[in-house]
Amino acid sequence: MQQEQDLVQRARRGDPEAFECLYEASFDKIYRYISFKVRQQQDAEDLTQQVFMKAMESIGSFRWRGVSFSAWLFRIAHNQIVDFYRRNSRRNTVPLEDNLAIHDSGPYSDPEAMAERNWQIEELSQACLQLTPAQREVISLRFAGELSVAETAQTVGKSQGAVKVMQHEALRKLRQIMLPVTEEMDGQRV
Amino acid sequence: MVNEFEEVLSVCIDRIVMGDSVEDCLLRYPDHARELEPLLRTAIAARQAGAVKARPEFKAVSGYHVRAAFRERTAKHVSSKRGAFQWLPRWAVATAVVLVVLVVGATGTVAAASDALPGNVLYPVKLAGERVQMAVTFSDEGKAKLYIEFADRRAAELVNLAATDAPERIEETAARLTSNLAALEALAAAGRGPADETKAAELEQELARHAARSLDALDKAQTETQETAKEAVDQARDKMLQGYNSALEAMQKRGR
Repeated sequence: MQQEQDLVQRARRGDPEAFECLYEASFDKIYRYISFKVRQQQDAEDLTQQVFMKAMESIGSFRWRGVSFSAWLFRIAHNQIVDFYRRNSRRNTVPLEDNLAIHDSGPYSDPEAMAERNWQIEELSQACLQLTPAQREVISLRFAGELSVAETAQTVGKSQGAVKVMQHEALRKLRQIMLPVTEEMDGQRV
Repeated sequence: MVNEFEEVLSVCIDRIVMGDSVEDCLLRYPDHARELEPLLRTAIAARQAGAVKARPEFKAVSGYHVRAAFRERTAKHVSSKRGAFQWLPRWAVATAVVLVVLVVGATGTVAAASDALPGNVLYPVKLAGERVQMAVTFSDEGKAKLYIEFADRRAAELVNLAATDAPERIEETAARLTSNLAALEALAAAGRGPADETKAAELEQELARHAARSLDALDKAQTETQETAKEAVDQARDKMLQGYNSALEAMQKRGR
């Protein structure tokens, strides 16, 4: 955390290497979080770049007031996604075609396994649509953004206790909706 | 009000995100195992759904754009605070910088820095010299050539660093190499570069030659790589290959 604070201070003073370090440290998480919510590679890429451009423009106004830099960055990402859906209100479906490319190697490197996995991911995306917006946000931040409970709480502006309750409820609901899918995925390690 | 189970579930989710298996968590909390298991299996499914990776070429190009925008913004900010030198036109400031570099170069500092490796006290001078060179190069063709030349220098530095016990410096140098190649790719993707088709084809061939030579040199250097730096060198090689391929692809597309 101290290192992050130092980097933010340096970036605010215009140090490009400090901003680059912050970019490198956050890029994958922000991309995953956005991808989880928009499900289209091109949109995810555009939005990710917009988030960092926005962060660059606004870093001068960032203050440590009980909100970490990560939480601040995820709020920007959240706002960009909200704007994106406002602009593209027709996009309320999640097409399978042209879906996110999975660049993992290993068990998903052959096309059949990748297609199967994409289908499972799709099921989960659809199931997530049945959660409340707040539950969906917590799941996105915790699993795609890999934020801690504390960071998630800062990002969504709730208490840590509320986040724990929401993630419990969300997982319980998801389990009910997609029981057969998770059974298929059982046994696969993360 | 958070109950005990919600606390336990939260801890287990953190552990799963860190790479623990469901079984590890169940063993840790046997009293809650029955209730935990289905939720943790669902958590694994959610984690897998979120585990997508960005295309490496997008990450590199995006990083280049963000860095360039940051530098531009900082430069604007600084220029608006030039104070006593505000009356000077930009070209005069650029000329003054070049003159300073030349004068300093005459004393041997810049010349000595040209062989400096990352970690050496003169290395920042080498990078500063390159930035000045880039700043005073105005044609797209000139910039493209410089990006190739700078990428070549980074590749040579990687070859030298491959035998050292400095994985962080190897990673930093690989990132700089990627950045140079991403800049070249962005230039080509924007349809910029040599105006003449023959020159564009020559530049493409030159890049391909540099790529082959650098990869070959790094492969040879890998035989002397120390165990602690092996992973960093392997990753640097992957980045180098990816960077050269993406830049070449962009140049080929531009030529079509």
